Amino acid sequence: MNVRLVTRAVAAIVVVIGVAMVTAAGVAWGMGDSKLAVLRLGLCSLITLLASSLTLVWVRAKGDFRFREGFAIVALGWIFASIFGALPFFWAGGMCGYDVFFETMSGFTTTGASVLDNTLALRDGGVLPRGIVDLPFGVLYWRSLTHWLGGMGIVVLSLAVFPSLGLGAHQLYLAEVPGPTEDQMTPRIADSAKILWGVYVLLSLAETALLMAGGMSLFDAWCHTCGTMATGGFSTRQASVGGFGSLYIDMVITVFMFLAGSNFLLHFRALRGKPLNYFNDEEFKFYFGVVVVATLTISCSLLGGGIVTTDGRVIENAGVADALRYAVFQVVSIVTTTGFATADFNLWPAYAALLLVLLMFVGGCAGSTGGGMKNARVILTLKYGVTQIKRCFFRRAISNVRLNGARIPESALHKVLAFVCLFVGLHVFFSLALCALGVDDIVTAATASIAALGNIGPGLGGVGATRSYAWMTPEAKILLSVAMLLGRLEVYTVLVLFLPSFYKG
Amino acid sequence: MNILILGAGELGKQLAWTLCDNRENKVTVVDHSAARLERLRERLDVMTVSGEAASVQALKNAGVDKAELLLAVTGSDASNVLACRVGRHFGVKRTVCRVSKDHFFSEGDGFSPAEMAIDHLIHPLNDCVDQIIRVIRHQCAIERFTLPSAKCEICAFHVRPRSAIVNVRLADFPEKTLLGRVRFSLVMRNRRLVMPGGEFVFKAGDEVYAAGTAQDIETLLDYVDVKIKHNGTMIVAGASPAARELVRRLKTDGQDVRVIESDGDLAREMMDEVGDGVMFIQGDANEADVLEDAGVDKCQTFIGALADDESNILGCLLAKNMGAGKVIAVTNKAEYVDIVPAMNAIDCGFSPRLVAVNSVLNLLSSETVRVHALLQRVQAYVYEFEVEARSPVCGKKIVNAFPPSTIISLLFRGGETRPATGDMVLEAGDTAVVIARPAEAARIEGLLRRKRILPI
Repeated sequence: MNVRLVTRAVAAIVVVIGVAMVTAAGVAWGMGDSKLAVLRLGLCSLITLLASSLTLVWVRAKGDFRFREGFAIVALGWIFASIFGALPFFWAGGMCGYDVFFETMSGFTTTGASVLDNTLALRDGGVLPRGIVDLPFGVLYWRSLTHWLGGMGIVVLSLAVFPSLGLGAHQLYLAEVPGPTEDQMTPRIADSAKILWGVYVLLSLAETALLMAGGMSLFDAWCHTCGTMATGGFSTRQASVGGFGSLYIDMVITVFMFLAGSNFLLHFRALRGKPLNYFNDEEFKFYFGVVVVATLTISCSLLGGGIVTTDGRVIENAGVADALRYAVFQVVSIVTTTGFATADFNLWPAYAALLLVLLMFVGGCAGSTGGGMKNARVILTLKYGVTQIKRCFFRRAISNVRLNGARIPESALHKVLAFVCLFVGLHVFFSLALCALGVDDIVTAATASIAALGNIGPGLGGVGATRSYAWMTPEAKILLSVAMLLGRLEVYTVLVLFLPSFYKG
Repeated sequence: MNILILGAGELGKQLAWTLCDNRENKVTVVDHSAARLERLRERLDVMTVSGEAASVQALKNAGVDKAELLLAVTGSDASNVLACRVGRHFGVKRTVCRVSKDHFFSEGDGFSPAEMAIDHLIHPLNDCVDQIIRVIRHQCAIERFTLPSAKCEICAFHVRPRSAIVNVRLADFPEKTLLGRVRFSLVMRNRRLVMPGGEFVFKAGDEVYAAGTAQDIETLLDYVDVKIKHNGTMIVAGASPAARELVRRLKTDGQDVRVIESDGDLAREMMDEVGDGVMFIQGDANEADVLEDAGVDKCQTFIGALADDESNILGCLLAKNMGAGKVIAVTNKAEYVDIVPAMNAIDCGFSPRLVAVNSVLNLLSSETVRVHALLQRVQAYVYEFEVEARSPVCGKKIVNAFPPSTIISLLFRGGETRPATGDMVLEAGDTAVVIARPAEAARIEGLLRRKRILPI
């Protein structure tokens, strides 16, 4: 493996993180945080920038770029981004080592699982009496910004900023952009990366403006935009989006979560003047169908029952309007793997709660910022299942599985199936491991495992929408951080690091 | 520049590699084989589209409407010609079409490539045969390139043990007039590059690159060449399109040519094409008996031009072993182009693919740089750089102006050609001919370009 080349590329990624961190210091200063917090944030970014740029200056690389280097750059790039990205939480937030790693990894992977609440033990032994709200603005902003950077991908961002990484750009791009299929938009990957980020920035600005129109402050609007567009789920309030109690804000966020969970290539085409292309896309139609069916059936199951919102209001005997309002928000939030909450779905009927957990497995679309297994893979697995059933009596039939009219070769199908198996297998492994590490409840362990692996955030039981991960043991937190990275980089990229043959030759 | 390459065969692949080196280029490759494209994309930052080269839909998918340059280099002449026409319909500015035969066009009847919207017709086989013909007269010549700007040549020759310059110091070069007019640019000795200075002593086995006017190079080659006792027979193995063209040209030049081909029908077909006066021998060119029958032991030159590369390489080794004067192998695969020069027993290797790449490179030139040829022995390109008035190297001596590894061969000044020596002072308007690898070339281009304070 070309270690120098990998080192340089990882350093380039950390430079991007460092530059983003400077803005956190700026925000802390502008929002009137204590001088100490501003100073500490500034120093964090200084350390990150110095470490990475000195590496770039010192390490000279030449030579060839193959698959190994591609995987190593993406996997190590994410790990180092999370280590440096954790500095603000550690220093300006005063949190413990394993907590900051969990929180940062949760941020970059757009999981949105948080350890922050009023029970979390800080390094000095104290707690945050009012939870999240007690953190400096700069740290809160950085927490949301990690989402935004990780959503479209820090490697893809680095590709757009440093075209010199273009040598193996295609490998890097494939390793980070989610989904089984790939539509190349431009000859140079660096240009594709710019387009993706361009669309992303555009949608983010639109959402911020709309949220501000609904009465949010610029700070809250931007932080929630980061959580939405990246399908992350960090909020600036302990009660998540439900803390604002506004139907308008709920709806704006629902729409943008839905957009963030669909393929950005479709948005790009729509912006180029083909708004109807959404409904020519098989995956989008499926995704839309899933959302509609899940919303309607969950609304039905909520009718007449009680709904407890995340800020503690109780709606007795819910009507159609209330049932629809909370159901659509929660369905979209879960299927896109965002993890925002307006109601405590932990208390919902078993049908609604289980369906939401199943939606966690489905996730967003290929080429979106969402997590999970992706709709395209679900479609392909279902279609493959049908052809296998047909083969029971058409023994010599040749596999003809298509997505959007294009035949998917069997090698690609096998990769999809292997992905589904690995994903489910990892879910089982992490559930069991969590139980072994002191989570004494099957529902909590099983949902925490998928909530991390699928990059959702909240689960059921002890990790429900109104709870946090603060109570878990340090080992369980580290384990879940690994699960989040596995989910975000779509399993293979991280798992190759565990193969001994990866390091030979 | 948006570049569309049709065909991901040996030539298309090499062009994609070469063109991708320049970050300004955005390359899209179209081929009907998805597996081939997949392999290409594992290593290169290009877009690939699978489909037929001349199909409108495939070309549209590949963004033909935005392409500035279309390189039609599939294996099928008809597809290439048609694709250029289709490309122009969608507004492609320049088209390059590769053909293996000239039979589509007839200047005399007024049907020229321009009628099919082809701006540059490249004919790798003919060009490759040209290259072979140019080195065939001198036993020691390895490759010769003409620089179009001033009838200058860069040639590579092999110092044979009985040559007049063996153990001669460069400063004591016997032909004093030549020394002032020809620049010995670099020498390959035991596979390592040496830059010859005045104290340099030529040894048998060296491969020397020299540059100068065409006439001076011819004189130089005549001088360093050794006469051999062989009869003047040329033996060509194979009845491939390249072999046919070669035999036709050799016959026109009045050479005594023999052809070895194992397939009798193919041989007869070729016989009808080249006409009377050429002897055909039926048999496998990789068999000693057959080669002996053909008289390889006494022949002046043996050229392996069979359809497959491996047979050519082995046939050449065998022929050289049996006593042939000079052996030349024609190969197509990229991998072999690199290893054939490393085989001491084979005097020259030529590749239609490499020649075609060079032809395309000639067409692409930037404001200050023109790329001429890929020198196969040293894996470097020949560049021409123009010295601009406000560039930082203008007015400096060559030794001080460039990094020490740069090899400046020639300088064109005011229509005159001068061999570039270290103490020459660069002037505005000079054109420097440089042998360099692509990375160095990028650095040199930076030096030569006028420093702009504001980006214009």
